[in-house]
Amino acid sequence: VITRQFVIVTAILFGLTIAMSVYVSQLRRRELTAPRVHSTAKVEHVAPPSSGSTEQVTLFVAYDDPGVLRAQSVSASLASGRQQRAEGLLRALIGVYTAKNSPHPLAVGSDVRDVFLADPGIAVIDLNSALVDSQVSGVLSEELTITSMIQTLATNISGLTRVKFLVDGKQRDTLAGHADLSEFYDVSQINDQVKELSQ
Amino acid sequence: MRSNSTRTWSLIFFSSVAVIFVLFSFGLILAQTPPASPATQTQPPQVLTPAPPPPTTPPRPLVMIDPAHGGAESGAVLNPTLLEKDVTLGLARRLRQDLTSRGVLVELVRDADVSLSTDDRAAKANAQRPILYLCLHASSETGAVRIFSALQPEATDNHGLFVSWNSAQSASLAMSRAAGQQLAAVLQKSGLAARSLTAALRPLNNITAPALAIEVGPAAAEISKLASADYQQTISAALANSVVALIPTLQSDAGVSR
Repeated sequence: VITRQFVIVTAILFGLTIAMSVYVSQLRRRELTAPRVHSTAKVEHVAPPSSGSTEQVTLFVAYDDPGVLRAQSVSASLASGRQQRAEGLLRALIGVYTAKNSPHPLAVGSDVRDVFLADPGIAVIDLNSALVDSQVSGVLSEELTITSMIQTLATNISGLTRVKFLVDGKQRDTLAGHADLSEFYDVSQINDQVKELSQ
Repeated sequence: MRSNSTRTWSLIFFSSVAVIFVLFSFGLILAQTPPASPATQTQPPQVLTPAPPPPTTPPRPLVMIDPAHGGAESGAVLNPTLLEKDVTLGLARRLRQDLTSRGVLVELVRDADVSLSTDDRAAKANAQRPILYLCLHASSETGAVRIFSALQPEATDNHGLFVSWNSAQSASLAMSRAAGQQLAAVLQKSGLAARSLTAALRPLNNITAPALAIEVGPAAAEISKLASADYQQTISAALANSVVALIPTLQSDAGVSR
């Protein structure tokens, strides 16, 4: 025998189910028709906090003529977080390359999208396509870009052992037809390479 | 009767499994056996292809020349009418001629405007077991010749029957670096500015012989020189003389008797 109360409870639950289905379908429709803020909005990088302390950091700057790397001490305002600090360091370096009369020119708009730091000692640098598209194609020129970025990070961020590059979040074979981006770079080998490129 | 037959088949089956297991284990042990002496570590791996039959006459050294890029992959656009792939092919043909005239056996990895992956290039070069692999590049940076050896560790775990594709160069790396320095020194003596460097550049890592990449290029203002016969001939002759001077060292390292 089905009691009256049981029928009432079942009817209420059934009604709630229908109502929730309608609500969820409304939410989904709203989501689909709403403008996609993340994909269309221009991503602006947050400036370092003005109250943050300025510090002296060493950048390894590439000079196309005569094809060398030179250590350069600059004053930079960097965030305290390790990851934000790494991004700030690379932006400071790219700033040198995008400036007028740059010793190793890159187009304005060249940027690092993200730097991911993972234990033990791994850094993944995600470059944007503007940087890669404006990179001069050539073995030495591409090596200078890669080496200057890795050495700048390794000098100012302790404990880095291996570095990997992505472009727009994706794996890429080469930087501009030459320098291999398919594998991790070993920081100890980059140290040796910097010695060669500093002469 | 039926029981005997079943037992026989079971016996055959388990015996086969046991034999396969023993052979597999033997193969694994063999693959993990380290080289017998340090001297063998500096030689190109002998495991990819069977050893060639003993030569009846002293072998002529083979140099593989790889004109970088090709086909749809044009390399650097040096100026609107000058592509890196064309410069490297032209220079490779001249270098082949100059080396051949000096008694060196030469083969080109590509002798036409065709696309080849870096893996294809390495496989083609390794199959010929050359004494030296040279990959030619051209760029518009500073008026110098740059000679690159692979950027990878010298010591790897390349033991046993097979070598890792990504670190196939490790056994020849010390020789490649020495050859790069010697080549740069000889080029400098002939009046060309030359540097010996390392680079993470495919397919250098995948070559089982001493391997170098050579990037030539006048200063940006004189980039059209790259297409001129005179400039290419000057570079080619200097490179040919340098490679010929290098061959005795390579031969003694490879243990080839002349």
